[in-house]
Amino acid sequence: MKSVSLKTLLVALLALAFLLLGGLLFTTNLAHTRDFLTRQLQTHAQDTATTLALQLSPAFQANDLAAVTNTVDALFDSGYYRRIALTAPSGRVILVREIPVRVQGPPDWFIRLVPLATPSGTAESLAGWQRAAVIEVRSHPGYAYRQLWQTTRSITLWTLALGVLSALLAIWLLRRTLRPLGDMERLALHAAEGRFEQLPEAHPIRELGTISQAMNRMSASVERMLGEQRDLVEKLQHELYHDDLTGLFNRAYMLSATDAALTEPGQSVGLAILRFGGLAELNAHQGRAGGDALVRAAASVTSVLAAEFSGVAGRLDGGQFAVLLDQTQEATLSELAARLGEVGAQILLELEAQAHCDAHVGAALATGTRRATLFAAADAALRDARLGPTGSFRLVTGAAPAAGDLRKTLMTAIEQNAFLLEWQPVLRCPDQGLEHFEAYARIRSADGELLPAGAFVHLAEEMGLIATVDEQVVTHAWIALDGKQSVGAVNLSARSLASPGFTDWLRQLVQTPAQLRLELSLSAVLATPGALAALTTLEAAGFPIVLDRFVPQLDTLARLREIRPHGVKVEGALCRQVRDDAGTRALLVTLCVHARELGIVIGATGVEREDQREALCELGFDTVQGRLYGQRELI
Amino acid sequence: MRRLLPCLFCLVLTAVAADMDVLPDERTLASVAERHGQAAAARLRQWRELVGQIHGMHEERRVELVNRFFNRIPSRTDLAHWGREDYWATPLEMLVTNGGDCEDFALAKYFTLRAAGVPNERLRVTYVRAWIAGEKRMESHMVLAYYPFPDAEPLILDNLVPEVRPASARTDLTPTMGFNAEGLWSAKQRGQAGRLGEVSRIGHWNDLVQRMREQRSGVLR
Repeated sequence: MKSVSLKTLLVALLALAFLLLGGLLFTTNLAHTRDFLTRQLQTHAQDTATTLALQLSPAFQANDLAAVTNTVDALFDSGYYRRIALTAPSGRVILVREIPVRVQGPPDWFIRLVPLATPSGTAESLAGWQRAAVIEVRSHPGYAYRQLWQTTRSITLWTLALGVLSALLAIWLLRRTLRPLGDMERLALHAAEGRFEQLPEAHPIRELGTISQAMNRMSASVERMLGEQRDLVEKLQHELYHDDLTGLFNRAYMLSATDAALTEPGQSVGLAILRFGGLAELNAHQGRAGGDALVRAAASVTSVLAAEFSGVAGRLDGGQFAVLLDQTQEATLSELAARLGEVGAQILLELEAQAHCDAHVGAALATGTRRATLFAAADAALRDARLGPTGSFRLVTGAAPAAGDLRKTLMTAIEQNAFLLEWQPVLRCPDQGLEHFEAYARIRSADGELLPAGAFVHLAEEMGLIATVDEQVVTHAWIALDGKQSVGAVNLSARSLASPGFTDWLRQLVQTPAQLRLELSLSAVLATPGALAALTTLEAAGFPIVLDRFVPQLDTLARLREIRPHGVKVEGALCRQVRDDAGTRALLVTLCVHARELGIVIGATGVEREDQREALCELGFDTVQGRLYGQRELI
Repeated sequence: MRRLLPCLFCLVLTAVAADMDVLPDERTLASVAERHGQAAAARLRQWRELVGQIHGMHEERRVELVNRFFNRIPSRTDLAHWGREDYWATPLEMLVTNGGDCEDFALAKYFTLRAAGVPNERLRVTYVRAWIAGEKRMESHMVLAYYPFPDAEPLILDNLVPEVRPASARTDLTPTMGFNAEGLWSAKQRGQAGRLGEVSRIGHWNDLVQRMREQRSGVLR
């Protein structure tokens, strides 16, 4: 059905009403005028007949036909009569004066359409007692016609002018009164996008005012419900993965995060464990509060250090704290371990706990190994460190490439523009149809091994070359996508985003931004000055923004509403636990609902098994990706 | 049938004349007797009988008898009789009140003759100037003129003289204008009267016809 706007309908109805009213007024006016003119014609004819009858009586009595003719002619030639006829009582015609009706002024069609009767007046003239003649007079309708035509014309003009005026007035009024409908539409659309506004509630039309109030209440309550949901997500997440005492991540999360980091092929993962020994003794001497104070202080410094090294901090148990670094190298891990040892020793001094407690750090670096192996190595290093004094640390390295070699390989790759791309499919949830491809950058080392991005990105960032790397990678990806129907996603470093000229370069390179999704880590964006502004610019330019490695936390959920990305991809460490942990499931369900209400596509990463995929799709994820799907050629 | 006598005339009168049926029915007579006395009712009854009696007679005889019947009624001015100027009384009002002016006489005679079957073409209500010998002045007056045929000299029915006389014998009268009462009547019938309502003669006429209609079915003011 073709839809009509309310305004159009109202204007049409008003126009119709005016037309009917105008037509009615016009017709009655015309009818009255015509009636009046006919009556005047009749009166005029009758008066003339009577007067003429009286006037002609003496002439008839004198049998002076010449006088009769003269009198009649004088009257007739005035032009106001159509016919004057004198007939004897016997029926003999004495005199007839007649002119055909020729009307000047009104057009012929008007005369045909609005006929005007020309009634006659009759009187008898006497010659003494003898009846001399019957006098019949008909007035000429010309003047009446002219009058009628003028009246009709002026009525028409006035009606039209008033019609136009009232139409303009009606349109103006309608536009004014219906404006709130547009506001309401905008409010509803914005609410669907998760932005909540309030309408002015005072309105001259009561119904519109009432609807405005109702919509305001609805908007407010939806906003409140969304807020409650967000709070629930945060609470669940916090309870599941955080340590009550310190607020750091707990053991479960740290194990899961280590798993996720290790699944990235070729990525060097570093784990440092800070252990405070003798907590039980401290508790015995200083009471439980003393032990708690130590744990809190340790958590605080561990957390600060983890942030400094772009790692994740957690409390494994009792007096053990861990920092996980992905994409790291020996030197970095070594520095972290040393710093952890220092602050550990310092805390003991500050809390005067050195008599009962000690602090040691064990660290391990590994690539492509299993979690247990990494933890075992870190534990071994820790045992070794405990042989030394408080604050000492040991580091065990696995098969991670030496930093010097990597540096050379990276420089060569940049110089030769030798980045390779592997494309991983991202699938839609219900039907496993292809949503898009995600590009993973690789470089080839001197001995022919393919190194993943995780192996060199950290180094590139340190060397200040990350923007160059990202430009080369994006260019490769875009060459593969340009001119095709395919949609691709590339990972960008927040530092590249913040580097001057990068956004302009990207906008110039990519003419159809909807085809290229940009994936970024939210925490990196927030930690890098200028990155958020650049992100907003690119989003406005039409690039779909995807927040990668998303972990629902206090601030990140709030940021979702602010940044309003195209999509989020939930950290693989969380996704993989979907089969094993009811708490994780509850958290993910709530996150999915929240994202959907904000209109954000929510994706699961790190999917390794079919049962995980099924479980994730059931929870409400829109897309899935992971090792289960391997790598494919770009379609 | 309430009207016993008029039903006789129904056979005789023409379509136009049927509307000219001004004669009172029994109910009217009873009403008049009650409100105006037996004498008034008797005059009406005589009037009705007269029309019935003369219907088959020679036309000039009818004219004479009708003239004689009405000329018995005293002549009075409108102001004296009705308390207002220029009142056109119906024949019934005139007979009931037993008085009328020249216009009332002329019109009463006209309607009676029409009811008695005299064609309208032969009757003209005529404005005349009358020489009042005793007062030595001309007075505006109205008579009924009867024309046996179109070009003939008319007979004049006048309330100033008892008997009908030919026009040539009435040297005291100068005719001014005759009008065809039926023409006005027909105009009324054609529904044009409303259009012409401003004309004073028509105004009198419409009023008169209206009252006659009402009085015929017993409505008396």
